[in-house]
Amino acid sequence: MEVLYVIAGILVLCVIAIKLFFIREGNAKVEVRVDQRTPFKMEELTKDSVTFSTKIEFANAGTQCATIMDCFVRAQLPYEQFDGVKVEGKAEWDQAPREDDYFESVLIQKKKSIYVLAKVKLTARKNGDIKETLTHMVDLPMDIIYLELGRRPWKLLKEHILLPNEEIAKIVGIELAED
Amino acid sequence: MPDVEMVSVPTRILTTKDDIVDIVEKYTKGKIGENDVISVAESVVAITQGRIVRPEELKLTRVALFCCRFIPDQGSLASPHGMQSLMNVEGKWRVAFALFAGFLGKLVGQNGIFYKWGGEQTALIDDVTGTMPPFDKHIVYGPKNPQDVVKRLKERLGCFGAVIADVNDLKRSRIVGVTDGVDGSKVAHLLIDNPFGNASQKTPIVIIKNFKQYQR
Repeated sequence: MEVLYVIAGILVLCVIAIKLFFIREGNAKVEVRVDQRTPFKMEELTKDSVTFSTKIEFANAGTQCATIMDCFVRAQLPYEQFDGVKVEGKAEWDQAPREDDYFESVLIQKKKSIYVLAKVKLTARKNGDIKETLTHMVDLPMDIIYLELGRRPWKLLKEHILLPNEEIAKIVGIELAED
Repeated sequence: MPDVEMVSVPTRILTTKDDIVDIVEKYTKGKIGENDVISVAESVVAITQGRIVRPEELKLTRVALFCCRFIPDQGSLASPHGMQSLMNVEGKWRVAFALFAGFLGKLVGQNGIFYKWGGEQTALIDDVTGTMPPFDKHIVYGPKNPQDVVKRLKERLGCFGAVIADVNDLKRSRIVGVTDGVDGSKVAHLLIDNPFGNASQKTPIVIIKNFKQYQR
């Protein structure tokens, strides 16, 4: 009987030791700091389109390496609300900008950060004049959607940001119409 | 005696639709001679063999979730997806046992038991980010039947020999498959500066010119 107690004791000690090991090692903890994003700025302005961007920190506050396998910007502006512009969003790692809208998987080392540029392009759909169109613009909500891997199973997560119409008007240098 | 020379051969991105021997023949036409050795990047051979899997396609087991926690942070098996992909080909209990044996081995100063007993894929799997786009979102296994591939390459190209090499920018150079008569360690030494390039460079083939004379 005593032997069984000894074996059970060893097993319990092993379980405790492993638990403590896991606690000590910790895990990745990605924080997408949308509340600390930079103000939107104008990347490009043409007669019929304008592109805005903001830089968002992806910080790994954890103690293990994390991987961002994909990231994209999903604009949430239905035509029921405003049909004057076509909206295209994209996300790119600021250290490796790409023109193909492909997000290359990137590692975030423990206690380090990467920065993702969230870009949104608005193209006038009706009159070919983006400045005129934007005088009627509404707030533009966007989701930052990303696929994260680490020591845990992969997860598809999202954060929400808003580009208010007042901010758009200020950046472009127009006045909003009284709709 | 002519000098040994490394000639990197760019290609388009190779996919699971390609046959590696056909591709190497096409891109090296007129560039390779009877004294040369053809070397092909290990991950690209594996990709053409369809030996890739996306993490989202894997069904993770508790054993994989548990075992991956004991692999150092930077390793390809440190994620449950990398570990599961290994267990799918080598068997989960074999891998788990090798990991445990590796742990016991380390306690008595014996390193490398996990990689020795866990199966040949243990050291060959590349986790996501380990390969150039569009395969950066895949786990890439090591190639299947590498000895057969190099034999077919040598026969088709009529060169001195062929190797499949696993090389990276961290000065790691390992020969995964090599034809008879070629000194793999000498090839590995020549490839140590990674003439394949890393990440997005599309040069999975390197011709080692005049290797036959160099080896003598």
